[in-house]
Amino acid sequence: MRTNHVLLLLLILSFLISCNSNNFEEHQIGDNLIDETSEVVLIDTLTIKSSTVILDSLITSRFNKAILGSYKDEFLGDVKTEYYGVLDFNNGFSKPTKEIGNVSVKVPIEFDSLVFMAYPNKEYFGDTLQVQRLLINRLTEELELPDNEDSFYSHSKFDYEETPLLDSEFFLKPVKQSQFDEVIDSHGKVNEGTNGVIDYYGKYYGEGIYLKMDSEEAISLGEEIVELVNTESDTVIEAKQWHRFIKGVVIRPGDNNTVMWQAPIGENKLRLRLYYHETDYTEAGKQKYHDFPIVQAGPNERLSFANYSSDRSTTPQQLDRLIEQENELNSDQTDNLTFIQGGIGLYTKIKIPYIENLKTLGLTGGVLSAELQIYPKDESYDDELFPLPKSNLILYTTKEDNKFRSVLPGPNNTALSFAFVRNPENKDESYYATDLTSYVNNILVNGQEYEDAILIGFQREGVGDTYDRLIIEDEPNSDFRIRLKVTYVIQR
Amino acid sequence: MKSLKSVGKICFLTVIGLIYISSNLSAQNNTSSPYSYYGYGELMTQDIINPTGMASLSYSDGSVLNINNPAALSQLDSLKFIFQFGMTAKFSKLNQGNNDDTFNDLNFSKLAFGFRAAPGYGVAVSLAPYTSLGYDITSRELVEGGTNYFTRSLKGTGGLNQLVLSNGFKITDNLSLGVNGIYIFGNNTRDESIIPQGGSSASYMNTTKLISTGLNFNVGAQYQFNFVDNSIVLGVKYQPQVGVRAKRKIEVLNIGSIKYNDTDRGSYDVPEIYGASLGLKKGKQLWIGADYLLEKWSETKKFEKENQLVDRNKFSLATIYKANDGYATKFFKKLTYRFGAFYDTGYMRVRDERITTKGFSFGVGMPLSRGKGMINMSFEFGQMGLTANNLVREDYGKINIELNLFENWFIKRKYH
Repeated sequence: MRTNHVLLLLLILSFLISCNSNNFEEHQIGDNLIDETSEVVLIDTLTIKSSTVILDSLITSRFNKAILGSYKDEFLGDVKTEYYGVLDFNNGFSKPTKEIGNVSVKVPIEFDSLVFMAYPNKEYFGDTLQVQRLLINRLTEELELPDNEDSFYSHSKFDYEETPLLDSEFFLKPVKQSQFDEVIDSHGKVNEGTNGVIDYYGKYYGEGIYLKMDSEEAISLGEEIVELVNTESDTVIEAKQWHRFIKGVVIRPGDNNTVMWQAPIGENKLRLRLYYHETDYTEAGKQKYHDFPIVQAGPNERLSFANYSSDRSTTPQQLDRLIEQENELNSDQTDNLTFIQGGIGLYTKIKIPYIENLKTLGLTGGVLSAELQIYPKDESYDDELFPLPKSNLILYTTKEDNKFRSVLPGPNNTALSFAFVRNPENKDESYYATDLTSYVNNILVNGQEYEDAILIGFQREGVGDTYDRLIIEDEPNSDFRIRLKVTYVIQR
Repeated sequence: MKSLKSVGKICFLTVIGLIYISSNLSAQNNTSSPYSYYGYGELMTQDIINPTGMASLSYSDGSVLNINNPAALSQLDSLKFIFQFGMTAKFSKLNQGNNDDTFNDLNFSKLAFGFRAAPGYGVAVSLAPYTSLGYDITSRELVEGGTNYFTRSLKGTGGLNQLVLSNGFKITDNLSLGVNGIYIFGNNTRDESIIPQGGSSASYMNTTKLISTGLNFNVGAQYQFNFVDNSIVLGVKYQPQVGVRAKRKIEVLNIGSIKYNDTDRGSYDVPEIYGASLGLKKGKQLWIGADYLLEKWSETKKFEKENQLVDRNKFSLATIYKANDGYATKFFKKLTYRFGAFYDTGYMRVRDERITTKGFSFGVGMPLSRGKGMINMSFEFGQMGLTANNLVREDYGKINIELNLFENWFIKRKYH
């Protein structure tokens, strides 16, 4: 045999054997033989300190719906909104003209009535079976943004006339009243084929909320507008003048209201409607109207906003102790409960002070997963009246001052949010969970300061646009506590 | 011109050898045995002549580099430069309970060259694996105190190699002494990775490396009692317990960051070894030998910690028959035949059981034309471990191919 042949033989052999078919398989044989040097344990006994804080400066303008009404919450007190809306003149209200022969003639009009109309969306929070009161007052102060700000906050306020334009009662039927039909709404006619023509002239046949404003103030406002039309005043033709004249309205609930609801704005469906008739010529006496919708924006800026307030003086956990943003009400002072509420700005704050103690276990270690679980207080919610939040619960880092620092990031550049883990058999064992793995890991790597904490609540950009609330149970040493379940590898 | 060509060929073979060594250090393993988790890994056979695992302490041959007993090198033929390159393919089947799994491993097993430097003084340099890690075990376990599972993968790769400078001296006609200076290098890499089941991308990875950079040595002797046609050879070997310098590097990676990183400098012990062998040479064609080897692993420490190993006893038998009486013309009459068997108690105790290995082998040596060398092939069949007590038994077959090239360097050609 020649040397070259031998080398060839070696190469072929090595090639054949290199094709080891087992390369990517998992081999379980022998798994019992090895004394592992690491343990994987679940640790859910890390102390979590929880409290409730109230944040101010919640933005409540720039939203495309008006949140109206008030509800009585057994935990959070009487919660209400006063919605400050810009009243638009809908491209102006000019005196009607008629062609008589070849001459244009202006026709004077006469005021009939002023009506508040609203088409809610289907969302509501609270009890719809009770009668609701609705008040509308005319603002006496122009809506103006604070210096160097571009939004209003939940605590912003403006002066309004003492006597309301409207003070009326109604029943809220959010689903039924959300039905909008343009023809009916505009008192039009519809051709129903063989049934002939249906005419919605006269009475309002729609399903929306339709409240006649028959107070003296409303009548005199209506007459004043009609007068301005008849005199062809700039006030009803030029937007700036109009806004200076009307300034806006505030829509308020009565003290005993039981439900909060929503009316979309931007589609001109939340409005005051002025009915009038012409006094001369062919159409004299015929029902006509002009709509004054509530819109987001005034002449330049978006000014409509909601003012939220709540009376917490009779709450069982004395939540009226929350006044300033710096106040922190530990859960042991509130019957082991913490609270989250949109609009008012309640957030649950948690601190995990001893996370870094994990590092003292074994030689070293690492985190495989960390899940934060929170349990809604049993019986604090139901599917009908007081549902669990529909908005995402997200997390912010914060410090002693309870200011938002940064949002905890989740996958794909979204904010980390909680998922609801429903237990259909035992409803009270349902809980919210979120993955804090990278947060915990970050603390293990970079450490944390004493005041580092997490705020749990609604997204700061949208917290002024929701009435959702959540009562969280944090009963120490029970299954129903805020807990962090860390799967941790301990290296021996 | 001739010697220049030889140097080229040697270089070429050295390069091929190095390629295999580097593949040994990275991709391929010498073993897939889960038992390679223990101690320093699976101990590679260091016997220089195949079949592997045979007795050899009392063997010497003019054209064989018996590095196992360096004293044998004193018997090297003059004028001969010997180059050796060996590869081993191992086919193994692991059995545990009702499960089994098969593995194929191929690797370089030896690169060596040697020659007689002076009358009665032979020298050799060799490179061979000393220990090898190749376990690859995956298990699904329950998080302690939880309800979720995780996957734990344990993987051993790499191994320790030894670069040996062997010297054999003839003291008297009957007595030879030898010494091996050994540089142990390479690294034992142990990876443990833990991945939670489902969803999470967080994982835990621990890599522990034993990086050896140290020296040790052993000595050997052969004494030959001559009779009329036959001779009896007594071979002995001794290695003191030596702490070999090493670094231990531990790195823990978790969610993209290094949680722990530590490099320790220290040493690990190679055991005290006693070896004795009795060999019988009958004429020039037949040799029969038996070896006993005691390695005192129980006293060894690694980075000042007990190794938890047990003493190793190895018994081996071998016979080598050179069919060529010097005048052979037929192919089969030109071959060298070898048979061997061994029983090795190993150096580990797992679950109160000794993990022993036993096997037998046979091989042939085929001379290359014009006395240019020899190809040795051997086949070994063996068993390691046992299935009782839920342990693993490895049934394996090994093919060893070794290329021996002889170059006559020191002949001065005469031209007529």
